[in-house]
Amino acid sequence: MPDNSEHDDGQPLEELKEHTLEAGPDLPGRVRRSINRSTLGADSLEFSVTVMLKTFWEHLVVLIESIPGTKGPDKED
Amino acid sequence: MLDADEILVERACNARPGDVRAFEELVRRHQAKVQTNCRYLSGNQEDALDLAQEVMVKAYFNLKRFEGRSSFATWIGRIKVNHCLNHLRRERGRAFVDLEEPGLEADAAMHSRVKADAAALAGDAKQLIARILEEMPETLRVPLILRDMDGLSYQEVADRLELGQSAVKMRIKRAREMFRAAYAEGASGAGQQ
Repeated sequence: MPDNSEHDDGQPLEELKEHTLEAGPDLPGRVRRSINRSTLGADSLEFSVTVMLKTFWEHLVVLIESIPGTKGPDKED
Repeated sequence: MLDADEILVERACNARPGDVRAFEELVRRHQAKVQTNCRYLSGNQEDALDLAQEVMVKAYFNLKRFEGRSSFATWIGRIKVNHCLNHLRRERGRAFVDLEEPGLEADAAMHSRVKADAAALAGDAKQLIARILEEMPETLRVPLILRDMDGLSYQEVADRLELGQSAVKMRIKRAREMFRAAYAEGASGAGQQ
């Protein structure tokens, strides 16, 4: 992978290849909590949207049925 | 045959919602590398933990897109590089292309600071490396990290930093020279204690 060029024919720094510092405190825990928060947020949003749409639909059905001469949308049951 | 990371990725993808144990194990395996790189790319120790967390969370929510064409380490490395560079751009409000080239005085100042720290860092090569990289100007450090730590090609580094390839090569050459000189100086300073 190393490129040869007139600008840099130097070798990569071996010291950096495997260089790592000690990981900070409790990264896995922070990641887990962040994932849980995001998942919970997404679930709550989905629930709210579903409830809103269902409520809107029910109101629409009631409204249509209240118009004389209409049966409203067909229901399976 | 699947390696340990691929097995964990498979388990994480097939886990019940809310069960992040397999992914947590992946985080444990890669946290040191990701956090170290985040620290050097951002140049800020305090930001590094937050950035590493955001990178891992991003990886989790994109895990289904991981196709195994490269290793998990390479895949998460790309996410990390993009995330850290976006962070730097937001933070500094500018592209890398307009950063000033550091002058020779930057070298001299860096060498004296590293030498002064050598006593405290005696025998601790990791801390010496960290100190040298932290003292290095961002214009040199970021391309060096992308090339020598993350293993990106010169063209990839140039693309990510929105620079010409020859500028990138010159900066990396300069960064390596600066690093080697400071490392030798730091190591010899420590040896004299």
